[in-house]
Amino acid sequence: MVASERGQLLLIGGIAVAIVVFSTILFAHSLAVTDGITTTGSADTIERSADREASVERDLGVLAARTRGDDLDGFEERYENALRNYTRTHNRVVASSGGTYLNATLNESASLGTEVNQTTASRFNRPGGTGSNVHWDIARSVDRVVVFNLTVTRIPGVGREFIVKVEGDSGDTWKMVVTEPGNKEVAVTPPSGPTTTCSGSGDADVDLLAGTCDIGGTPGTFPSFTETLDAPYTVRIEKGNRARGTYRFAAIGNFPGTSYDSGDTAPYPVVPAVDTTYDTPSASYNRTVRVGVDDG
Amino acid sequence: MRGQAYTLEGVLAAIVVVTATVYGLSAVDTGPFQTGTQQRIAALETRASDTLSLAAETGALHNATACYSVGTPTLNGNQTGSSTEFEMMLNRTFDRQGNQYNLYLSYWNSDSSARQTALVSQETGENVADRPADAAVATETVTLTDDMPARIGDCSGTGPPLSAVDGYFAPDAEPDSVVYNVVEVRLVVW
Repeated sequence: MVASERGQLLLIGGIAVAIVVFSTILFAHSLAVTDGITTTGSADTIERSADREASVERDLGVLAARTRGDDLDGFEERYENALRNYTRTHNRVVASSGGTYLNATLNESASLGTEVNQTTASRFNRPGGTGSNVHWDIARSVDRVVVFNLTVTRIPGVGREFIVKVEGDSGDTWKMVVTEPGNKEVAVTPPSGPTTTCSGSGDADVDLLAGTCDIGGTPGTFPSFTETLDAPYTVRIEKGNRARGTYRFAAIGNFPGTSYDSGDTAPYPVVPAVDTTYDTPSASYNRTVRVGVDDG
Repeated sequence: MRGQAYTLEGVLAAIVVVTATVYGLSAVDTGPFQTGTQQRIAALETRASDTLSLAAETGALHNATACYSVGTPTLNGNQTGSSTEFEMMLNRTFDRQGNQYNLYLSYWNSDSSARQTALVSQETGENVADRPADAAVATETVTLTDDMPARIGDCSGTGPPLSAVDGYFAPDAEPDSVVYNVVEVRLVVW
């Protein structure tokens, strides 16, 4: 091979290499440009879906807060009814502009939360389980409480006291002592600060979550345990046999077998789970979302 | 000898090709091809969508939707000096950047075909007319319930419940339910 041939070969080889480089780059670029292969359409769909989901989840939270209110009774039915009306109106409004079909139904089995109650006035004894009948844990490792109402109707015997004790994450204790030395007295002692007392004649209605008490029409307020302790809580009744009354407690936590038999607890959607179905021109999918209830 | 040289040349050429390919791929924009207009619309869409999402998260969008005042609307497309939080967001994000926008509030009304109210950022013929073809669109929904208070003044003060307000733009779509109406807020920017 003479020198001129070699130069020609190198020249042709260089051109070939250049062609390969350019072709490869252009080919790779065309893959991204071609709509059938690129992720542009998919990315837009995903982004829109995420926005839509966030919007719907916000709405579900608003509806849950509005339908729950302060009344636990029939919340599931009210929420299901609200979901039906919401999806109907949502689909009517949105269908005219974008065509998104939404279906949302309450999924009770996937919801988080448990309710225990005593609806007829009797001693605040352990409903089931084993161990002490009068000193017992309502719930342990409680992350979130939505209702804790208690009505003390009677404390037979002077000087006797009935106690509800809540222990927070740090081990600090919030305590409520109910006595009836004549009039009824509800004395609340937070981990730090003075004891607050409500007193009056009649049934003592106490909302331990809101920090309100009403004894025979005389209202009062006290610092609630959620204000003064950090979760998780252990909620305990002491000397439950000393008083008679009713209570209702709904929360996310551990309701121990030492306090309850099967059937003593009931599911309650503290955090409702909602099965949602989205059907849009570009995507159809299902989601089960746990609804953060917006109390605002 | 010559065969060895050619082999070496081939290997070197392959290295050059691979290196150039890798370098070339990292140098070029492998994103989807977009014209200048498409890029502008995509950027506007992102801004519009983010603005609505942020307003929804902070509650400003809800307040704006539930805003009500007798006579003159509190939300009026004021380009500067608006005291309404949502409109201030629109001012900052679009008006000051020279963008125009229309805001459409769609709701359900079973008794009438009028199911939309519009707000324009500037009373120009272009704004009042249909949106231009190169506009960006973002939507968000707001659910209103019967007991939600109407917003008054700068849309942060609370007024009577929506179900008790006469003249509020959206009627009670579900009279037998806690749901008052669902309002789709559609922001069109160009």
